[in-house]
Amino acid sequence: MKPLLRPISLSAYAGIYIVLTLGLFALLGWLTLGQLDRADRDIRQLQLEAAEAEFDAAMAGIANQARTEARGLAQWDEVRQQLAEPTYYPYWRGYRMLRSDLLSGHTLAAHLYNAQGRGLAMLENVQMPRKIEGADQRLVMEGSTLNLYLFEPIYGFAGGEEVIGYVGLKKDFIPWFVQSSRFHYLDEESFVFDLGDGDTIPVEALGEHVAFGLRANPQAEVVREVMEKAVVRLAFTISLLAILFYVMQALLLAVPLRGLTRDIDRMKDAARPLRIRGNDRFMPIAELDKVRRSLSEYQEKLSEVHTDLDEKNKTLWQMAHHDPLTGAYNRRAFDVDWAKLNDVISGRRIDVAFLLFDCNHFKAINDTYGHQVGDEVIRILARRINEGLRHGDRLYRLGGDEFATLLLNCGEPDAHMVAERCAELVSIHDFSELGIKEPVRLSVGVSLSGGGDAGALDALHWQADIAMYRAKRPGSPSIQFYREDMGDGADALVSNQVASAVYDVLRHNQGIEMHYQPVVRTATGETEYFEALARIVHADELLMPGSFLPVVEARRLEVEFDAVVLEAVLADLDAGVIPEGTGVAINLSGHSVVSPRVLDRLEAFCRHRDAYKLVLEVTETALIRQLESATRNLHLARDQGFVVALDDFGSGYSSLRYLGDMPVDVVKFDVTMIEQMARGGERRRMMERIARLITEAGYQLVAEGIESEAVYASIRAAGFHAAQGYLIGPPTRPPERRRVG
Amino acid sequence: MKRGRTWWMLLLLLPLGMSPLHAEVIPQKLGTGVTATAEYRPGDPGRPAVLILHGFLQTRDFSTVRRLADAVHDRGFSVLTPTLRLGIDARAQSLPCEAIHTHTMDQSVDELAQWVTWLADQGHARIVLIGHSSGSTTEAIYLATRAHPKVTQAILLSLVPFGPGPLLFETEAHAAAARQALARGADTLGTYALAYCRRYPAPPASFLSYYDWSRTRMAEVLAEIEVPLHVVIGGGDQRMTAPWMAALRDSPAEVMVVEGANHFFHDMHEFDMLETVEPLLTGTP
Repeated sequence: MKPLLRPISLSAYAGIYIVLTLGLFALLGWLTLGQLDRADRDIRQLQLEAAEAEFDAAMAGIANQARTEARGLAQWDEVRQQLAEPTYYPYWRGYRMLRSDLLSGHTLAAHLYNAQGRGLAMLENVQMPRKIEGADQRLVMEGSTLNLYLFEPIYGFAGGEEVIGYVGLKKDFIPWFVQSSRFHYLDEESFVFDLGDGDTIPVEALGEHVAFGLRANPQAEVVREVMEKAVVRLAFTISLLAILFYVMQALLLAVPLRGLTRDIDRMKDAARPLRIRGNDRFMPIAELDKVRRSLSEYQEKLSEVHTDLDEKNKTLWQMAHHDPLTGAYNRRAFDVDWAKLNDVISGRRIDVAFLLFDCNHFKAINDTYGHQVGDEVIRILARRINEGLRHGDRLYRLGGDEFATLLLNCGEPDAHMVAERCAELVSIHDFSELGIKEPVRLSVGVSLSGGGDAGALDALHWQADIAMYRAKRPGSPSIQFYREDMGDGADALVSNQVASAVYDVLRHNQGIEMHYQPVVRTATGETEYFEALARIVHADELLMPGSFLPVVEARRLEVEFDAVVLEAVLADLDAGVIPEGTGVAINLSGHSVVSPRVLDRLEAFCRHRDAYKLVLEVTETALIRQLESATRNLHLARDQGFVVALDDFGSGYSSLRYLGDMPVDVVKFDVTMIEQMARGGERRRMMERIARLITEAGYQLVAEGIESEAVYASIRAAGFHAAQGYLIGPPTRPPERRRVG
Repeated sequence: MKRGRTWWMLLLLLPLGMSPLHAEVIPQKLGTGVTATAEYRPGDPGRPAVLILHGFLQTRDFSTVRRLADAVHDRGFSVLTPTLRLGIDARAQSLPCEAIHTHTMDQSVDELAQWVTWLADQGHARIVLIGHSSGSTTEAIYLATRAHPKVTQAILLSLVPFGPGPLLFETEAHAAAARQALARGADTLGTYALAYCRRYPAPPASFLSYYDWSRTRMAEVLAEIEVPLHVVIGGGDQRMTAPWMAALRDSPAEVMVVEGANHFFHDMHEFDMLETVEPLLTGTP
């Protein structure tokens, strides 16, 4: 099961960290700048309020200043002189009043009025009203100039209350206002008035008609500039540190780690353990250096162990695949090479010669001169035959005095030459040194195959076997090549009766006879199906599987034999030998399960699947050998209507895990398991628990070897689906339906 | 002399910077309906009242007059210090040269006469007139023309005539121009010079009302004064020309010179002037 999350690289983590750090900083920077903006707004608001207060104070100040100035004039003796005697007022106004120090700058005009508010003289360009209503202060927009008109009463003499006239002033208000006031917050250059030409307002109402800007706040701007620069510098620094951090982690961690990973991957993919590269290279991180050194040391140890293991494997393989007596390859090596050969030449036209060697009268030599001499003879035979083989050819000791070799790309002449050379080398050897007086000779059976047909290859062994037995016949040449006619008539007889019977069955489909043992359903006691069991009738004798199956297996004839069995059962089905409404179970070897030829033959059974229950029985050992291909084929068989039964459960691996991996419908308990149940006690309880476990897993359980009522009762109680055994009925031909209970 | 001077100094320093505690500003409606003011500080009823008149275009607050008035009052005399109107009701400020001068010497003499009368009306049996500069001139003209009988003595400080002279800017040309304008019947302003004023805007009649009180005419005035007359002059007063000094010495007046003093008796000469005046007052019968 794949993990939900895939691990990511150190650089990616570093990148994420950097992005998160930068993101966090950006957020903090944004918040800081936001706070600066808020502080700016607050400061600006305070400045605005201060500017408004400043404006009001300045207005009050200028109004007071204007009034003071006007009062100064009103208290001037010469002003009262003019009111009393205005004869020379124009002169006095021009030379005295307008030039008086009592008038401040920005005075545009000044004029005196009598107690009735009339100007003292009708002057031209006086720029002042001719008549006033009394004391007053007002602002008048004249063109683009805002003028202040101020009229202040003049009293008779100091301390007097009698108004004898008025002094009037006209001021260019804005320049006067600006120059007379000091502004810290208000920008005096920014005054804008919403007054039109001729508009007149009271002085105190000016605040309602003016808009102004604020002076730049250098402190706030400096603070903001400093803060912004600080943020930018900090951002630059953090970015630089992030890049530095990334580069550092890349240089210090990621690159060395990748190097280590590459080395480990390379070592993983290598056939042999390698040393970690750059072991002497500088590793900047102490912990990493320690890891590398530890790994390197571990790798060196592993390499040593591997080398040692190689040696041991080599020795073991040597021991496992060689015959300790002769040094030749043994039967196991033969089986492996034979399987490889099938793969190598599958579908190709490669000439293959199979040579089977057998020592004539070896049993007599062994019996006459003893086992030690016999063993020495075997060793000499192996050496001499080996000397006769071509370079690279392998010699296998199949058992006793039987040797074999497989010659690739070898036609009949070459095979014959090799066989002759081997026989010659044995015949010229001086066995008298062992005290053997009789000549020691080889019989050689040779079979040839020119195509890639798997069936032809499978036949090589028994063909060479037949040829070899022909060579042993008195008067026959000691080297015999298999021919088709060797199986005919009396020539079919070989020294081994059972093998002969098997070969008869395989070559002529003669002698095979199927017997059927009933399998009853425990729930009903009725026969559910029959297990087909092969018998060979040979020379009026009925050969049981215990005698011929070893020959079949030894000669690798399982596929051919199973094919014959399938044909025989099919024939019985076609002939109606097996009662309808029942079924038939057919045993298949492991080789047959993975054989396409056998699978093809199963198709023919499809026509009976409606009338019969069709069961294929396979052993778990056979399945496990080639689990994948066997599983695939059994699925196909199930699709064709077969029920798959796992035979002899408990005799082999008996692994419930394997059971889960197999396409099995029925589990057939081996006789040994049933015997455990018959014994009772704890073993029975354990078997019952296993049976219950398998039943609950959805399998049908079949018990074989039921020979007593008590055992039958116990397996019924244990939940077995079906049972077979001599209690129910022995294998018979024709099949006999039985009922139990 | 030295002990007396020290006494004057202490007397003057005591009220320095203080307004006269018993001072009263007296408004006086004049005959034309206008108002003049004077400061009156009553003193010992047994002693003569002293009227002190300020100089040209000044007020009673002119320093020489103020200090003299303080000192005299402190000696127990009732003191009246009028400020001449010079055409301005209740005038309180000195009149700049550049102001329009419609006032005349006759108006000033009339005002003085009214204040003397006012003093006499207050019950003062003896009145001493003290003047400074043109105030002395005004008082001399008053004494020569309409002196109140209760005026028993006059002390005229820095008495100078109008008309051309050292440190004075009026010229015959100014007078001629004024006379011509007056002859034309024009009452327009003329720009003249008078006394220490280089520019003196005034109608011609006003200008001539001062200008015509020349050295010769003033000598005649002095000769007509009947009360004991003392003229105190500064030895360093450059406006005291030799002919005028000769005229003074030829007059009935006793001429007393404060050595080294200028026209205003500035600095320490102020005390010398006071020491000169005080015996004259106390010696008043």
